Amino acid sequence: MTDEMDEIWALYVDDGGQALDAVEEALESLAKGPKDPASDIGALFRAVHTFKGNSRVLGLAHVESLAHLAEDLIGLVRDAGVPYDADIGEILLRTGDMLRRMLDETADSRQDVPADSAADLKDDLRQMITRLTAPEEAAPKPAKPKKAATPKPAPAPEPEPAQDDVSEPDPAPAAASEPDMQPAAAPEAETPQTVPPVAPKPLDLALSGLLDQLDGGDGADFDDFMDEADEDPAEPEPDIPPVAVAPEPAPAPQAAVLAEVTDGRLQTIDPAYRKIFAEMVDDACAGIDAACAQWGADSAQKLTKVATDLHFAAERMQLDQWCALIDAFLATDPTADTAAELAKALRARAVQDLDVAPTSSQEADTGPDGRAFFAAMAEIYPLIADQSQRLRSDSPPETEERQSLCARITALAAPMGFVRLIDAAETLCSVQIGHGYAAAELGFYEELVHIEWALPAAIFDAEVVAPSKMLGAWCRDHVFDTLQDLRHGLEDRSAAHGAAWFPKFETLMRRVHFACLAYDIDTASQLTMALVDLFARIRIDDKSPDVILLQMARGFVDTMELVFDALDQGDTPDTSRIEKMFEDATSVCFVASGMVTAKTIENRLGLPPEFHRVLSPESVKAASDAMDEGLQFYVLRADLNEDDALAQGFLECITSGLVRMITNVTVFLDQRTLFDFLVASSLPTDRMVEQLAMLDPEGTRLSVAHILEQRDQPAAELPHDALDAVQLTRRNDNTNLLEAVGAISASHALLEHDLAKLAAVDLMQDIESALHRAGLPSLDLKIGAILRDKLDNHNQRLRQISESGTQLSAELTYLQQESVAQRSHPAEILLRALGAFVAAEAKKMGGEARLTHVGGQITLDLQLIEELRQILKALVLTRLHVAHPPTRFHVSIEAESDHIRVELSDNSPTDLGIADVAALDKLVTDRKGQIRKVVLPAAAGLRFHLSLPQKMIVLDGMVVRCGNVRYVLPVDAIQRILQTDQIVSVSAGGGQMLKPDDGGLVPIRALRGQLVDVARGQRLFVIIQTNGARFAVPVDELLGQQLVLLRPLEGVLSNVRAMSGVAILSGGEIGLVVSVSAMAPADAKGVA
Amino acid sequence: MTYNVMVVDDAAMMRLYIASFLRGRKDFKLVAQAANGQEALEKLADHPDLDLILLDIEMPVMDGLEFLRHAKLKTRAKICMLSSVTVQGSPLAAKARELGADGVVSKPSGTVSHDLEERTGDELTRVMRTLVGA
Repeated sequence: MTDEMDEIWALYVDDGGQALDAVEEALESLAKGPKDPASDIGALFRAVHTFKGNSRVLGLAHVESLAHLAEDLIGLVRDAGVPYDADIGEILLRTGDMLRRMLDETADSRQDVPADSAADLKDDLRQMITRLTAPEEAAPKPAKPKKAATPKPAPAPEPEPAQDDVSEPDPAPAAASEPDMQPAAAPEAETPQTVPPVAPKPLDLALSGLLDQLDGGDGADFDDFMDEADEDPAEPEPDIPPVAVAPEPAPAPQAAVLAEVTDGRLQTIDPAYRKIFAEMVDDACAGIDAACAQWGADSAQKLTKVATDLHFAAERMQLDQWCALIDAFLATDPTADTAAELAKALRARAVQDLDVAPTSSQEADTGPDGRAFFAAMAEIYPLIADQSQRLRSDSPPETEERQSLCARITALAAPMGFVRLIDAAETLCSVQIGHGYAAAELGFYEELVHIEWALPAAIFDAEVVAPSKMLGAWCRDHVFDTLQDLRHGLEDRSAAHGAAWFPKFETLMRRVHFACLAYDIDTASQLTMALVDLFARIRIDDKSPDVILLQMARGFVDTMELVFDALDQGDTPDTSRIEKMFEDATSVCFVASGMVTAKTIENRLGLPPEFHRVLSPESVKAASDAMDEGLQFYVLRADLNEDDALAQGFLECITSGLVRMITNVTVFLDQRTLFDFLVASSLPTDRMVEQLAMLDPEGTRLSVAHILEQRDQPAAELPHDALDAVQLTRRNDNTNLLEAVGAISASHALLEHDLAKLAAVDLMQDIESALHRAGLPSLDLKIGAILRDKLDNHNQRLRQISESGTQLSAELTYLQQESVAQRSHPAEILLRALGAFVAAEAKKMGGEARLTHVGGQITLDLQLIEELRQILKALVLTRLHVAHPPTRFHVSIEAESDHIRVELSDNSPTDLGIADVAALDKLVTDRKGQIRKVVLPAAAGLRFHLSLPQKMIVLDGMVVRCGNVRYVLPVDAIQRILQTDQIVSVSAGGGQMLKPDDGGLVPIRALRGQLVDVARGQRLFVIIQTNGARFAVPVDELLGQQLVLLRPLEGVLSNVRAMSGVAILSGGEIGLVVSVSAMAPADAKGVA
Repeated sequence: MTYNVMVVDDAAMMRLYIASFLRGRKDFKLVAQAANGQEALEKLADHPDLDLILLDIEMPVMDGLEFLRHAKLKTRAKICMLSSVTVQGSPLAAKARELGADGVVSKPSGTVSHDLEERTGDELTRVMRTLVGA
C-alpha cells in the first residue's frame, strides 16, 4: 500500500507540475497577444481542469476549490464570450502561483491545505466571476442544461471543496453542504459529502486522465459528462449560469451517481463510463487469462490486485452484484481455476450489464436458433446411442436406417450452416464398428461441442443440455478405461510406428481432455491437448515419437490416474505435477533439439512479457549464438503495415548480418498494429538509432523500444542435451592459426639465435687471426683502427637488430597466448551441462539425480573440454546404469601446470563391473590420462580420480637435454635443481633413490628409462614436486627457461609414455614436454 | 489439382511472404487474404470453394482463435494455424487443438518471419498437403 501511495503522490506532483507549467505558458502567450487566443484559452482551461481533477482524486478539497474557481473564470472566457483582459490574466497568474505553492505543500504533507488558505484570492476570484456574470442575469438565458436538469434551492458563494463537479457552476447552498444534511437529502446516492475521501488509487488517476481524453480535452468533467447524458437533448446550448442567483433546489443526489442499478442491472449508465468500465473489465479478464495461461508464484498476488482495482471501480458505480462476484473471488486464495471462473463470470456480466458484444462462447448471433437446434438434437442423441449399441450387437442397423439418421441430423444442421457437423454425421452413419466408429462418435460430439462453444452459454439449461456436459460426463465415467487403453498403447513401443497409432492415441487423449473439463481441471485439460499437439507434429514429420515424449505421455497417464482417483474419491488431487509436466511439454521441443529452452533465453535477456512463449527453436538458437558472440540485444518497435517500402527496407536491415533478427511479436497500440522485433547486433545503441533514422528520418515508425542486458544463466535451465552441445571446436578451433604462430615463433627464435651469435662475433679479432694464420703481416695501425671502427658499427647494428628481434619475440609470445586464450573456456560450461545431463538421464530411467561441482572457473582448452566431456559422460552413464544408481554426484576440477585433476564422487555403493572398468580405463588412457577408483568408507559411494594432460597451453618450461633429446619440464613443478652423486639403489624393484642434502629419499625417474650410471660421479638432477609427491629427474644439461606452446602428441609420438605433448623450442628444435603427473610415483593406477 | 487457400494475417509483410511461399507450390492457389478474423469471416461467404485457411493468432479486431471457433462450424476448409505463438506443446497450440484446428505450424522467426520458406517451408507444405488430402 505504501508503494501504491508513493506512486499516486508522485503522479500527482508530476501531473500537477506539468499542468501548472501549461497554465503559465498559456498566460504568457495570452499576455503577448496570441495568434490563436481560443487555443490558449482552451489550453488554460484544460490545464486547470486537470489540476482540479487530480486534487479531487486525492481528496484535497481546498486545493480543488481554488482550481475550481479558476476554471469557472476561464470558462466564462471560453464559453460565455467574456473578453480576456489583463485583470483576468493577473488573477489567473496569482492563482497559478498559489496552486503551485499548494502543490508543494500538499506533496510534502500529503494532506489538504488549511481551509482558509488563499481566502483572499478565492474572494477575488468570486467577485470577478460575479462581476463578469452579473450583466447576464438581466437577460433571461436558458440555464446550462446540465444544471437545469437538477434545480437547486440556493446558490452558494463558492463551490464546496468536496463537492462533485456536477455542481460546479451552480454551487450548492451552504446549508446543503453541511455534513449532517447530506445523508438526509441523499440517502441512497453517493454524494461528495457522504462519501469518505475517495481511496486514492492509480485507477482514479488513470480514469481521470482517460476521461479527459474521452471528452476531447475540452475540459468537460467526467461527472459533467454523466449529467449531460441525462439531459434533455432538446435543450439549447447553455450559457454559464450566474453564480449568485436566486435559490435553487438542492443538488440532485443522483448527479453523483455514476450508474443507476435496478435489480442488479444498469438502467442508466453513461455510455462513456460504461465504455471505460467495460475496458477495465476487458483488461482485467485479459490479465486473468494471461495469469491462468502461466500460473506462477506471484499470480495470486497479481490477480488479487486486479480484482481489488476492479472492485473499487464497481463499488464507485454501485454495482453491487459485481462487487459480490469479486468479493467471492477474493474471499479465498486465488487459484487458476477460481480466476478462470471469475473471468468467465465477469465476461458474462459484461454482456449483460455493459452492452459488451459477446465474445466466443457468448456470441449471440445464433443464440435463439441455437437453442432450438440443440433442443431438436436432444431427440437425436438416443438414436445415436441405439445405433452404437446395435452396431455392437448381432443385429446391427441397416444401411438405410443409418442413412435416415444422417438425414435427420443434416436436416437440422444444414439451415444453421454447420457443414462440419454434417460431415461428422455422415462419417458416424457410415463407418463400421471398431476404432473408426469410436473416433467418429467422438468426432461427432466434438463438433457439437464446438458449436456449443460458439453460442451463448445461456441457451443451455436443464431442458437443453450442453453437449460438452454430456460428452464430459461420458468421458469422466470411462476415464479409467481410457487411461488403461492409453497405457497399453504407449507400452507397445512398436505400435507407435504404425500409421493407425496416432489417431487412436488422439481419440483417447481427447476423451481424457473432456473428462478433465468435466472435472474443471483446466491445467490437465491443457496438458492433454499439448501432448496431442506434440505427437501430431511428429506424425506430420513421419517420425516415431522419441523416448522423451513417450516417457512424458506415460508419466501423464500415471499422474492422471492418481488425479482422477482422488477426484473419484471426492478428494482434492495434487495438481502440482501436472503443472510441472505442462511446463516440460512446452520446452520439450527445445530439449529435443539439444538447446537451451525459450524460458532460459527469456530470463537471460529479461525479455518483455509480450515475448513470453513465442521463441521458436530457431529463434532460441539464433539468440543463443548471438549471446555467445557477445552481441547487444535490442527490441525495435516498428510500424510497418502502412508503408511497404519502409517495411521492406527495415526487414532487409534487420536481416543484413549487421543486425540479426531473432524474433518479433505483434503489439496492439491505439488501434494500430505494431511489431516489436528482438534483434542482436554488434552495433552500439547510437549506431543502431542511426540505422533506424536512415530508414525513417521522421522517427515516427521505427524506434528502439528496449536495450536489453544479458544476465547469467542458471545451471538448472540447461537442457539435458546441452552436454553434447558442448562442442566448441568448430567455431573456436584456431589450431591452424596457433600452429602458424608457433611455427613463426620458432623460426624467429632460430633467426634470433643465429643473429645473436653473429652479433657476438669479434670480426676484427677473426680477421687478425686469419692474417696471422696465413703468414701475413698485421694490419697497419691506422688501417686497423678504421676497420675496427667500421666493424664495431656493424656489430652495433647487429645487436640492435637482435634487440628488435627480442621485442618481436615478445609480441609473438603475446599473440600465441592470445590465440590460446581464444580456445580456452571455463570448465563451468561443461560442468553445468553435465548437471543437466545427469538429471535428464536419471529421469529417463525413472529416478532422480543431481550433480554439484566446484572448479568451474578454471579455463581449459577446447580439445581438453571435449576429451573431458567424453570421459565424464561415459563415467556418469556407467554409474547411472548400476543396480542402485547414485542420486548425487559431485565433481571437482583443479588445474596443474601441465595437467588437470578431476574427482567425481557419487553416493552409490554399487561397484563397477570388470567390463565397465576396462572400458573406462581404455577411454582415459587413450587420451594420455589416468583414472583411479576409490571405494569410500562406510559404503558411502565411489570416487574416481582422473588426470588428463593439458592441451594447447603456453607453458613456462625448463628445457633440459638428456642425450640428444630435449625435454621441457614445467617450471611450476620444479622444486630444486642439484648436482650430486648421492644415489641409493633400492633392492625391491631395482629402482634408485636420490639422497638430497635436505634429508629423506627421493625416487629417481629417468626420462629415458635406464638407471643412472653411478660410476659417472656427480650428476645433475631436477627435483619435481607434484600432487604431494617428489621425484628426481636426471638430466645431462639445463638449456634454459622458455615459454613454450604445449601441443598434443600426434602420430608416432602419441605412444610416447609420460609425455604430455611437444613444443617447438627457441632453437627450432622439438622438445618433448614431460607429464610430471604421469611420472609421479603412485601407489595405484588405473580404475581397478 | 489445385487447392484454394485463404491467408489470414495482420502483418502485411507476412501475407506477402506467405503468398510468395504459395506461389512456389503449384498445387496451392492463394484466392483470398484477410488482415483479421472478422474480415476473414466476412470473406468466407465469398469463397465457398476454399480448401485451406492459413491462420495467424494474434490479430486485431478478431484474433485467430476466435475466428477458428466460428469458422470451424461453417466451412469445410481445413484450418491450419500458422503463428509465432503456437510453439510445439505451448498453451496456445493446445488451445488451437482443443478448438479443432486441423493443423498447427509455428512461424520460425516471429510474427513476421521472412525465413518461412527456408526454415518451415517443408513442414508447412507437408501439413498443408496432409490436410487437403493431396
